[in-house]
Amino acid sequence: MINIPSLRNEADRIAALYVLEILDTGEEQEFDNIVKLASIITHAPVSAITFVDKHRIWYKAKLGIELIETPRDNSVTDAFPFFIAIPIVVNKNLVIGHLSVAGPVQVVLNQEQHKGLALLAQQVTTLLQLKLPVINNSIKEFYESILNNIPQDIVVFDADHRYLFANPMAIKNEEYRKFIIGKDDFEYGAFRNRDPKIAEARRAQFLEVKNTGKAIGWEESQKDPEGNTITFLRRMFPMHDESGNFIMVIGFGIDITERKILEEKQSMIMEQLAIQNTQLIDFCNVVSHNLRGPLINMAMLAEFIKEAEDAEEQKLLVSKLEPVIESLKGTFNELVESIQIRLDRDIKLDKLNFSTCLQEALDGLYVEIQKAKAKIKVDFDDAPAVMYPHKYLASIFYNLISNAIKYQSPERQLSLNLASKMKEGNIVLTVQDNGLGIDLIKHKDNIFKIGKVFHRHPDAKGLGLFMTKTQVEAMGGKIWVESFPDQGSIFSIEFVNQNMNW
Amino acid sequence: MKKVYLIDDDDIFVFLTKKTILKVSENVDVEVFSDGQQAITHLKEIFSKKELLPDVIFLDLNMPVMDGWEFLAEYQELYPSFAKKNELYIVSSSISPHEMERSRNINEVSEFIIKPLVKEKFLEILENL
Repeated sequence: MINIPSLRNEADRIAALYVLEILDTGEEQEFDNIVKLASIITHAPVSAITFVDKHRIWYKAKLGIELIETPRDNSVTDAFPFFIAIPIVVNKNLVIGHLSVAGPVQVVLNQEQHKGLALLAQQVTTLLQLKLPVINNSIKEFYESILNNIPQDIVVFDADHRYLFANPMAIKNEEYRKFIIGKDDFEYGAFRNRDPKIAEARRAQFLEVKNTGKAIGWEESQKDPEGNTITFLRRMFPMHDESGNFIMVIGFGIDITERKILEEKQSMIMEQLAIQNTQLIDFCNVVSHNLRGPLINMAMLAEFIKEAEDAEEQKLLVSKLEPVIESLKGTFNELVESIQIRLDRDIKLDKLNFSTCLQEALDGLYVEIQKAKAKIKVDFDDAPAVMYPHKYLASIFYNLISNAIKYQSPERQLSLNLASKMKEGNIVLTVQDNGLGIDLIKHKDNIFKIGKVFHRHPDAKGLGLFMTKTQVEAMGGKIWVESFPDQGSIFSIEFVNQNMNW
Repeated sequence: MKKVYLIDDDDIFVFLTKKTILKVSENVDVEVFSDGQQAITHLKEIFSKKELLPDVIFLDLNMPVMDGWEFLAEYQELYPSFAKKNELYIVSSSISPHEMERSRNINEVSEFIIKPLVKEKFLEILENL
């Protein structure tokens, strides 16, 4: 009905109009009544409430004409000799539309009529603003539905650590969720019958955020009703108003259980890799020392045999070849065996009697034991059996006992004490001797290393203890030693997870 | 007469190296120690006796009781009080770069020789004395 090519503050004006969400709404009696009143006051047959959109004029209410909208530059006013438009103003100076009256005959309005029209135009503004809370409510619902459906825990505290808001992820039970509003953690904890220490910890965290004005974050683990460990990453952010006053804290929690499990897996893999890397270095060393050494000897011997001046010398040199080849063969076989331990991750477990397995090792060492006149005392009463791979247990017994024989003291008869004890679901096997012992202060780091020997003994190759350690660790167990030079050693082996009922 | 110490637990290698040395020169006296402990004990007894001290030490690394590195630690402390200076060579079957690097940081070590000790090398060492 009116054509206004441009109004001041066009952008602000359009923004103000859109906030009202009035465009393209249906007919409403409140607005219809206003146009009726305008016609009654002025005796004009035509009246309308229109809003000026970017490119159109839209009719909210009208009397005496049938228009929904017209282009902004298409003047309808020309059709009427009589036409008056009063601006509808919001935010003090933004014109968003008009209340207008028109007719076929020119009419001069008196002061009262003008005033009446102006008041009606103001009523339109008032009416629009009255409708705003309805709009705001829908915005509130919109944001609340986001907060309530977001798959993360969200709570909001006021400046005194009382709950202003908790979403259903934070507190699933609706009754509890309603209860908590306006309460603090101590009251909520008492209500839920929880340890007050939880509330104390939360209060300390809240105060830290409040006092430093900085966000904090921490990880927290708890058990779910099924007993699984759930890990949360929690954060607290302080919120300040425009003048910098502390007003509230937003608490935020996200379930990182899956990430945590992945992290643990990764660090386990890292640990395994580190161990394997050390073993690789050990291997490099053993190849250097235990394989390359004999090879060099063989090469040198071959050279000398070629250059030998008489048959006698040649014979002597050839006789020296044999022990070198034997030692090379021995080292090679043991190396192959220790590699196989590592490949044997899924080895079968058997229920093994310690005494049966020990007897097998003793049978294998029969000659050596007879020669040493060893006294052997056994006490497997506390833990008579173990779940373990047979060949590992046999090898453990064999290595430890043959070591004890090899390194017995020349000054006393060898005596061996073997015992097994249950300890918190694990079994600890101890093998004690009264032999030469090892200076642990000097050799602490080397004792289970490959190719490491501590005594002047022709058979000392230093692979036995390394093998034993590899076998024990491959099954998740531990091996350690207590020893004093010339008093003897106690080797202890822990077999893990033996807590089953057979 | 040059005096050579051979510190090595490998009997065959000692036997062969002695043979090599004597082939190069008959004017060499070889003393053998089968680990670092035996050698250091001996050196502690004779460090002030010029005529008993060696001209060259050949040291293995991988030995029982006291290995080459442990020997070197004690040797470094003892060396300043020696009545006569000498050369020390590591002679090892090790081809580990880590061990070679480690030996480079010890001033008392003249060179890291990878086994075997060949005639030519020994001749060179003898000539440089």
